[in-house]
Amino acid sequence: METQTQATPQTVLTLKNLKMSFGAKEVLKGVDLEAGQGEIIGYIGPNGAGKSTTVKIMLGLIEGYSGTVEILGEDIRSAGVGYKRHIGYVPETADLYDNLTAREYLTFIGELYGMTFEDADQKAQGLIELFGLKDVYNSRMTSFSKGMRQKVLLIASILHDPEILFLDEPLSGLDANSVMIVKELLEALARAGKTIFYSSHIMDVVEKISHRIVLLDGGRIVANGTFEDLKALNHEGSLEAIFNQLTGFDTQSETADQIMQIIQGVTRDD
Amino acid sequence: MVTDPQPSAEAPESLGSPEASESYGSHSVSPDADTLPPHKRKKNFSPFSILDRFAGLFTSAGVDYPVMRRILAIKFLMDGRKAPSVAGSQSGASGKSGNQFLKSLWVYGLMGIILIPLVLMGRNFMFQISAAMGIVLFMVMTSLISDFSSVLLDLRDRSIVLTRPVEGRTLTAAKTIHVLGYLLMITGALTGPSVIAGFIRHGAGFGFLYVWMILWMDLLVIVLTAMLYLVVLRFFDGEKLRDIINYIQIALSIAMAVGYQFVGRMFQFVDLEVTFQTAWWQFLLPPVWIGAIFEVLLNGGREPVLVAMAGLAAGVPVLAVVLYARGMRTFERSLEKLEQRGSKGSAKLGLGHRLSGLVCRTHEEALFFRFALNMIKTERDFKLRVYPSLGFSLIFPFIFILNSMQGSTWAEVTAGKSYLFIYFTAMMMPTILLMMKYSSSHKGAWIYAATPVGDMAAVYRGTLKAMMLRLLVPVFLLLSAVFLVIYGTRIALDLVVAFFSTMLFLMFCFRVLSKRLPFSEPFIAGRNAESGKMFPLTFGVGALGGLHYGATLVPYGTMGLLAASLLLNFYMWGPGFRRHLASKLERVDLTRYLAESQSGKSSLEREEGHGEDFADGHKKSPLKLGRSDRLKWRG
Repeated sequence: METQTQATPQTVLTLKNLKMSFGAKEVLKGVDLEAGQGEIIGYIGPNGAGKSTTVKIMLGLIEGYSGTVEILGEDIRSAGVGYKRHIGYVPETADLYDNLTAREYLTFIGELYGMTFEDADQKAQGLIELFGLKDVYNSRMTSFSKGMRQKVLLIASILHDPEILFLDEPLSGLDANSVMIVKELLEALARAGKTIFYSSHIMDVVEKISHRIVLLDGGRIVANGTFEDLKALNHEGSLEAIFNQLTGFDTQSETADQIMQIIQGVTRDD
Repeated sequence: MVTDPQPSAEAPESLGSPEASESYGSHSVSPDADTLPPHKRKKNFSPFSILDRFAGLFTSAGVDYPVMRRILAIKFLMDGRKAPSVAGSQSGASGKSGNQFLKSLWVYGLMGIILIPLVLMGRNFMFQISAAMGIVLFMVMTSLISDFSSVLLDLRDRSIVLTRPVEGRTLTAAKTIHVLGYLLMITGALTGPSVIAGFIRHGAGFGFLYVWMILWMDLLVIVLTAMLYLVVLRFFDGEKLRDIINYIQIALSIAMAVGYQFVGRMFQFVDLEVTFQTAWWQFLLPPVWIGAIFEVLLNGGREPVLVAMAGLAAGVPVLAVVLYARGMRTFERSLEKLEQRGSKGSAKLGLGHRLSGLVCRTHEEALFFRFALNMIKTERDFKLRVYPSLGFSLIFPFIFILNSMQGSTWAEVTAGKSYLFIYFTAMMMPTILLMMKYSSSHKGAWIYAATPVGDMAAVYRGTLKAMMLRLLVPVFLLLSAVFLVIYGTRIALDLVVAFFSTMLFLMFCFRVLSKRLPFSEPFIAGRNAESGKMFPLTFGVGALGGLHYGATLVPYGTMGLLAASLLLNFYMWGPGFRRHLASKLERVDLTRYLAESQSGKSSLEREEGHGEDFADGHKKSPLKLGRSDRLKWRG
């Protein structure tokens, strides 16, 4: 198993021996990770691997962990909430206050980040327009489709020009054109020195956009390196195949066969 | 001495004042006002001008006041738009947004009248105030738990607000003030009449102390509720907590209805000469502490026990608030648990599975029988609306038997015919049938259209049987057992007749009420279009009871009734059922019906409406109004 060797340009985030348990269940079993400026990190792993727990700890939503988390040079345990000013977050659960209008929501979030109302409003309006939602800026989001909500969430995460972005399935529900915009945007953000934590189950996208891939399984990092590194080590062609191999899952064809057997055996005979 | 109650009553009154609440409401009407920056909105947002005076207090407690204010403004803005998830789920109001909560305040105001005699009665404060405060504590606490739990337990706040640079305690403070705002309005409405009465009867000293103690009580209620949640979350998971809240809501609506039966009687028992006798357990009751502080300050009570209790009344709220401020950190953290998955559950299929083969004739009917059993087992909204009527069915027969006992001996009662009050169980039927079409997971109803369900009669009959078995049968058996003990086995035949009459009544209600697909529509708050049919249906219960009574007067009458009832049941549940349903449903395009019922329109009503007696009622129904309103809110 390879751990990261090359030095990152300017470290913005460090996890040292991060452990977390919920009751008797140990979710993180000692995670060590560094991230530098301008990196896009594909943060992947099977369900229940501890991905969102890691992100929640970094966002200060979960306490009671052991080990240290340093963000922009500060230990978040003692730093207060100020560091969150430099973080943008797209939650997987797509939580938003949808009985607000897009404008009300985005200005509210902007103000929570310490922007003025006018500043937030102006930026939000510009971004909304670029994402093609100009007409609904003043509409309540209860009527929004999944894709429209996702755009609002994305805008809310970048409105305040953060240094670090945590994106959990940020493309979910977006149409193909919007997906291209977001992919380009991520590249541009990275070029501007932002660090992006990209979490997704769609391996093709992770493979294409990530500079580095971190694979979490059972609360441990089982791989950490560029896609080429992983390929060289595992002799597999795609990230999907590497993922399967590293998470010890190689029975997909048997499982599919068994599924076929079950559905064909148990169909009602009338 | 008549004093103006304004100065100290300001806090609750002004939050509850029409202008203040107008301004919440007005946000839903004028979108421009919503989007104004907060400093421009400030001027016509009067609750905040009061709150602003306490800004220093918040800041010194480590709260980021401007941020808290911003969060609060957003919260109140959202409340103004929401369908009434906040308050009023039992208030029976329908339709409009915003002022929903204000409407429900009237109910509290009316209930507050009960407190007036308690305050006016005399100067036995230990008794009067303890009783009044007990009522206030009960009302406010149950309303907090049933209507405002969602505010305290909101998980979106965590991912939306706490992921931004906002201190946990700022969010906690915002949540607390948010809830407190509503509690103050509720207590304002509830105690308003008695506050005025108190000022007039006992003077300013009493009035101010009363208002002050009511405010203390509100704080105590929030702290106690949060602690209750904390304890529950510590030992159980979020699902359990939601269940507990659900059962508290149900208990509340039963307690309210039953309470009214006793209010009148309560005052017969009240004896002004009651002398207060201290007991250790009174130290556990906050209302008694408050009674004590009145006794000490206004009546010059000097007994050590009284002084000690008065000390508790003065000190505990302060202590509680301090503990709360500290403990809320733990509270927010334990909210994480709400997100965790529940336990694995059991793999057992349960009694319903075995029964389905027994009580259902076809495979499809048994299928929907089990489906309905499973749906109502976990559906909290359904329980909230239906279980209270189960409670009434259990309690009202006894209340009426007790009433009829006055002036007669126990022997006379047991020899009488008051067991016919078992027909109260039939009262739950209309409610059950009305609620059967709702589900919080109504979107799953596409299964009716996407699967080859051929026999709609099986769908309905299976569901109806499940409702009977799960809801009516347990209550009926329990009551029957108790009645058999009281009245003896002579009533066994009558109980059987009553059961079959109730089954018949269920069929009757089913025919009268509209036939929407089970579990296919979202719960709407407040009144239902068909609530108007409920009242006449209630008379049906009376008629059945009357018929049964008449039959007992005739030789072999009960036997005859049983035979008639069995025959009718056989027809109504059998051939008649299918015939009736066929005449109702032949024109229904299932796919279209589902598409529309999901989007809030209803075509089945129209389809059904051809030549139907109730067609007109449907068209003017408040349901329609409520729904088009909802569509409007969505923009």
